[in-house]
Amino acid sequence: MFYLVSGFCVVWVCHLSYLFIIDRQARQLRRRLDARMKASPQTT
Amino acid sequence: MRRLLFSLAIVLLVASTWIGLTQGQIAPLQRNILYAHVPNAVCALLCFVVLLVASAGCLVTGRQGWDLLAAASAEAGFVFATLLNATGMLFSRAEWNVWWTPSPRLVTSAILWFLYAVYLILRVSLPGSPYRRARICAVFGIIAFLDVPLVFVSARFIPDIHRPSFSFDSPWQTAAMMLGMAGTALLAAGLIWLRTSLLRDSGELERELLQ
Amino acid sequence: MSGLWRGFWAIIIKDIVVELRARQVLPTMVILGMLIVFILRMASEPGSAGVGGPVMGVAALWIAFLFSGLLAQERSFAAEQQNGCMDGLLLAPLDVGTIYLAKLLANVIMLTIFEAIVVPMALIAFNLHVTGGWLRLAAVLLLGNLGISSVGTLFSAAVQLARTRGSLLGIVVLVILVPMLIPATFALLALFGAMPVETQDFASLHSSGSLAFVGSFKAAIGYMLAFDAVFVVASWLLFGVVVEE
Repeated sequence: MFYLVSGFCVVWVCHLSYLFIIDRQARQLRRRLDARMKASPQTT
Repeated sequence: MRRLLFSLAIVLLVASTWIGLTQGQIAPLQRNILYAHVPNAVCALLCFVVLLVASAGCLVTGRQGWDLLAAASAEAGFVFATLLNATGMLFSRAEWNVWWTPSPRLVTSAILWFLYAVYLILRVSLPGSPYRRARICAVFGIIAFLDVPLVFVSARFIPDIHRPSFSFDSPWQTAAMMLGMAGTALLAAGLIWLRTSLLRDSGELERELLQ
Repeated sequence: MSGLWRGFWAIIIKDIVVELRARQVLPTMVILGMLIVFILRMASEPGSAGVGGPVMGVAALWIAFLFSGLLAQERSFAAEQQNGCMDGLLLAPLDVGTIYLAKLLANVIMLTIFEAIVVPMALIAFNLHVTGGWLRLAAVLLLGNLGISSVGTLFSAAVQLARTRGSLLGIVVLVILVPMLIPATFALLALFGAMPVETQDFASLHSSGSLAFVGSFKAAIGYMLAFDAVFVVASWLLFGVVVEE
C-alpha cells in the first residue's frame, strides 16, 4: 500500500512541479520580453 | 492552446488513475503502480526518439529550432526516465523485495536515464559558440540513440524473470492503461512544446540584451 | 589515394614519436592501471575465494582499461590545442575521416601497450588462469580496446575546451560503453574459467542478472564485434561535425 501511494505521489509531484516551474519561467520571460518591446519599439 | 493541452492531459491522467484504482484494480494492491509506470516508460522512449529526430535535423539543416527541440525533449525525457526508474524501483521493492537488480529492462532503463543525464550535462558544460554546442550535442544524441538498441540486444537472451506477464483482465484495465498513456503522451508533448518556446524566448532575450 | 595514406601514417607516427619523446602519458596510464588493479585487489580481499577472484579481477581489468583509456584519448587532442596544431591538421589536404582513423589507431596502439603491461599484472594480482586460451584473450582485449578508443577519440575532440574536460569526456565515454561491458565481462569471465566457455548453464555464478545471458562466448565476441563496427563507423562519419569551428 505504501509503495503504491508513494509511487503515485512521486509521479504526480514530479510532473506537476516540472510543469509549474517551466510555466512560471515562461511567463516571466514573456513579461520581460513584452516590457522590452513596449519600452523600445524600434529594436525588433 | 497549450493550456487546453495540459488540462486535457491532466484530466486523462486523473481519469486513468481513478479508473485504474477503482474499477480496474490489479490483484496485489501494489501492482497498480504499473498504471503510473508504463506510460512513463513509453514516454521516456518517445522523448528519446524526438531527441534523435531533432539531433539529426540539427545536423542536417543547421537551424536553431531543431537544437531547441532537442534540448527540450532531453529535459522532458530526463523527467520521464527518472520517474520510470523511481516507479520501477518502488514496484520491484513491493513485488520482489529488492530495490534493483541487473535484469535487462532495468538495465535499459538505467542506461536511458544516464544517457539523458549526460546529454544535459554536455549541454551545460560545452564552451564555445551555441552553434558548436548544438552540433556536438546533436552528435551525442545520435550516438546515444545507436546505443539503445545495442543495450537491448546485449540483454536479449536473458529469461526476463523480472516482469510479470501483465494481461488485461478487464476492459476497465485496458481503458485505464490507455488513458494513462494518452495523458502522459499529451503531457510530454505539452512539456516539450512549452520548454522549446521558453528556450526560444530566452535566446531572443539574450540577443536583445546583447544589442 | 596515396596522399591520404601518407597523411594517415604521418599522423600516427607523429603521435607515437611525440609520446616516445615526452614519455608522459603512457607511464601515467600504466601506473593508473596498476593502481586500480592494486586497490581493487585490496578492497576485494575478503571475497577472493573461489569464484570471487575472477569476478573482481575482470571488473578491475575493465575499470583500469576504461580510465586509462580516457587518459590516452584526452592526450590525443589535448596536444593539438597548443600552437594551433589542430588548425594545421584541418588545413592539410586530408579527409577529416582519415584524421579520425589515424588518431583512432594511435589510441589503439597506446592502449595495446598498456594492456600488454597491465593485464599480466592483473593476472598475477588476482591469481587468474587463462583457461580459455591466450589467443581468445587477445581477441577480447582488442575488441574492447577498439570500442573504448572509437568513442573516446570522437568525443575527445569535442570536449577539448571545456573546463571539466577530463571528467566530461569520462562521463560521455562511460555511458556509451556500458552496453559493451556486459558481453565483455562475460567473455573475460569465461576465459578465466569462472564460467564454462560454451554453455547455457550459469548457476555456478549465482547471478540472475544481465550476465546470465549471452549464451556462449562466441555470442559475446560477435556482440563486441558488432558494437565496435557500429561505433567506429558512426564516429568516423560524425567526426567532421565535431572538429569544425
